[in-house]
Amino acid sequence: MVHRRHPDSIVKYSGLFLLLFFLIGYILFPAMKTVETSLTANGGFSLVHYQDFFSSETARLPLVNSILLGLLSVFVCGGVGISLAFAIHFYEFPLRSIADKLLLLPLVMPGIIIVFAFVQLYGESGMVTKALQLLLKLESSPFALSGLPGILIIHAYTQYVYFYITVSIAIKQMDYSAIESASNLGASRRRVFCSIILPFLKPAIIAAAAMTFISGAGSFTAPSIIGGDFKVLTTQILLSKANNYMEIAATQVSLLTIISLLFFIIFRIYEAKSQFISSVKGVSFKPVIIVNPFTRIITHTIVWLVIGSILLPLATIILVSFVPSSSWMVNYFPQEFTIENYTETFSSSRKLQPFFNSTVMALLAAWVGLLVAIPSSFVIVKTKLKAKWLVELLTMLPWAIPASAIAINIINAFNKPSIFSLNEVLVGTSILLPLGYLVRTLPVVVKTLNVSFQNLNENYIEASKSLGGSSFYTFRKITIPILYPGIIAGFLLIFIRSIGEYTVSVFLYNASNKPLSIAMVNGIFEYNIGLAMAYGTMLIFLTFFLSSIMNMLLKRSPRKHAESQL
Amino acid sequence: MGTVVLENIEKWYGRTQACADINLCIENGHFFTFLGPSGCGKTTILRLIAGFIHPDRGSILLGDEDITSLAPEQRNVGMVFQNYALFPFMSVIENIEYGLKVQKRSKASIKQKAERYLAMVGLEGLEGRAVSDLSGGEQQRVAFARSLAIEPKVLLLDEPLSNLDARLRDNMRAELKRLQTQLGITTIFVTHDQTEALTMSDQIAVFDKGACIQTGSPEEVYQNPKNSFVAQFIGETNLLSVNSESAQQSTLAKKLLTATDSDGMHISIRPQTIRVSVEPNEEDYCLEGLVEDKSYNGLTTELSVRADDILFRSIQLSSTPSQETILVGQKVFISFSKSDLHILER
Repeated sequence: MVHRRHPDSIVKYSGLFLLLFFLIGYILFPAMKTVETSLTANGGFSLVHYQDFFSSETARLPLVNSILLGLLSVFVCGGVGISLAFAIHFYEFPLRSIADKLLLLPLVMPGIIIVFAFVQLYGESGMVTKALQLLLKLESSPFALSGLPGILIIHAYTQYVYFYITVSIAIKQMDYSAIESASNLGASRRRVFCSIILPFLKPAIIAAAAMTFISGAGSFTAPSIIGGDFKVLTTQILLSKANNYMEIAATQVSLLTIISLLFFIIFRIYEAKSQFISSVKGVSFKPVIIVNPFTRIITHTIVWLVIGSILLPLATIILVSFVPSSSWMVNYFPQEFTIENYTETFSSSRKLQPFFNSTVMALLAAWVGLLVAIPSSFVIVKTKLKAKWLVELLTMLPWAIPASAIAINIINAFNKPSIFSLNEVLVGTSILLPLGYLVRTLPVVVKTLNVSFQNLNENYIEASKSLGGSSFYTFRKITIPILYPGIIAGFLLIFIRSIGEYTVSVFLYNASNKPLSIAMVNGIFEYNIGLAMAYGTMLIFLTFFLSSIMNMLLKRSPRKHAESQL
Repeated sequence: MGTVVLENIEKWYGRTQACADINLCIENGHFFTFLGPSGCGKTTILRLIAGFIHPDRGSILLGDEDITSLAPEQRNVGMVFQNYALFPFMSVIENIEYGLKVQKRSKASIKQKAERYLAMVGLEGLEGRAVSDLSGGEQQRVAFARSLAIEPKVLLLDEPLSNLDARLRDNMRAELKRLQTQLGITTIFVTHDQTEALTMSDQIAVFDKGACIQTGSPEEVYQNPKNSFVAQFIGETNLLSVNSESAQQSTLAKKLLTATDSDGMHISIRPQTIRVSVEPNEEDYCLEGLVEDKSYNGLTTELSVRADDILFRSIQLSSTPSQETILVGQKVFISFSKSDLHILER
């Protein structure tokens, strides 16, 4: 008796086809369209846009600046993030879990809010700047938060988390017996650090460096608001797009993407080289006690000061949201407080509209994002399909493409009808912005879901079936409970990252879907600071609330998700 | 009832044959062990019986029913996994109740049954605990209770003792056997540990490279191994290769070749049948040799003696008078009788 299995391959392959259609159509095709646009002149293939770019020093300088910004961001954020990770996780630290949570705050706060908070605090008329000026009786502001140093300070604040998270996880996973055995073999503390601890942390440091470089070189928010004369590619791309020089924009985007991809690949190769596999079960890491009381007090004080400076901008936004906008014309410091910024927002449907728009678009991105991310993770983790590598590559690709490039790619892809736009021109419609949000957040969500799928041990499903559970019963009672924390967390992650998103929004919004971040920036430029900060405060509380739910859910999952939240 | 019959079972993974033409009959109420090294196909057969995979050829019968193409949930076959596969988001009692809820029993019956099996595995009082808070041994008891609660026709055990430390493993072995005898449930046990197989089983099937080499009671398999693989895998043995080539190099091989019909075969001599003495004796075979190693294992003492350029291992009770006086480097005599020799296929 020969048995043949029922062919379920039709369902499998049509599902895979739909998934690849989406990933190719909305990630790869747009990127290819941009490259094509940059290589087209007078209807034919041409390198003229690249020749023009490289022959003009004014055009080249932003490229050099972007690379410089990326590299300097790596050094500054690396210094801050690694030091904090050591202070909190390598050494004994009081109230570790609270400090750890506070240090992760910048991860979920929209960049645009942080930039404005910094301007309010340390800008030319910022409260800290003016306080120092009055205190020191100076004639002009002691410093101005602008140009390269200003951007770097903001990057240090917003991007140290990449280093902090990956290095913290690596420290916690370090095999303590390896450190003890090195000491036992007579290695000095310095030698133990260089020969044991550093190799343990190296892959994490390199991975964080890759992330930081890409987000640093592709940063838009800080350069566009406080960059001043320091021009980078991302701001030039917006300028080209605003003047409708789409070929130039496409050339700039292609170059920025190539640089990002290049560094990403270099870092990846380097990371792979320093990767190791722990062959034996190690002893879990125990934080080291700082014996010298003086060093201990100094270290703890510095860390708490840093934590204070992380909370300060958030507190500033909340504070300023209660200050009447008109008072900033005459005062450096708030003199009176009112709730009129909120009553104004909630009583005018026009002013509440951006909040509504952002919520709807973020929800849309989150729902569709899950529809793409769940099957993608399933294919990546649970199947041996030949197309698996393609799914993984396409879902991770947006990680290496800066946000402004994602936006330009989408414009280039959908300004003409194509099979992926169902033969419509989509530029000018409201669908592009949520699509941009989705593409931008897809890698993070797929990473988070991958962990959930890895937790879904095949044995649980088999155990349920051997106990009599049907496929549907098993799916409801076993599969969903194991996956759902990851699914909800993925949903919230897209939502949180999209609701206050600025860069993609600048490029893709239109009059009918103006998002919150754009309304905030408009508010600032119209000197309606109070209103902008009321928007910001609402955003802070919303993201804080949702990320608390997310963390609660991820805690239920046995494995650490933190690393996948990057 | 719980009799399992495998007829001409064959399973391929791509071009690799996982099991070849397996024919087995597992009697109702027996404790039946699949024994073999890793990769020998024993777990594949267990998973075929559970229904997680389907055979490419052959049939599986449970009682009078052909279950070959039934889904796992339709088979009423309980399984305890190597890693227990306890549902991590459920408490101890919820895990045990899971299969009973699937059966849509009344609440009172679910509660009563779950408590009964919880008590049977000695975990009263731990109902509400999260499974992650239990020790390895306790987790395993929950896994047993969960599988037994559905009162399956057959219980499948996939190396369930391999994750426990040595002492706990000994205790669990006895307890598992007690439970099986008490419930009289047909049990199929997969292991690579010969001690587990010998001590617990009514019947053993020895597997190698996807094929079932020998089945029989522990005594049969141990005392009359079918080939050199079984002899080596079950218990310790001294294995001598007998052919015209080895006869030229060794006088013992030459003697064995002429005295027995063993050309091209292996001869197995169990270590406990080899006696070591200071003086020669009148046994069928007696060889002079040198003690190369001696290890004291409490109850027994093991001697490695090189004689006729072959290293023989002898295991004797430590209380045997001669064992205490023999030292490493000493000249001794090893002896064994003709009835201790087992001629085996290679």
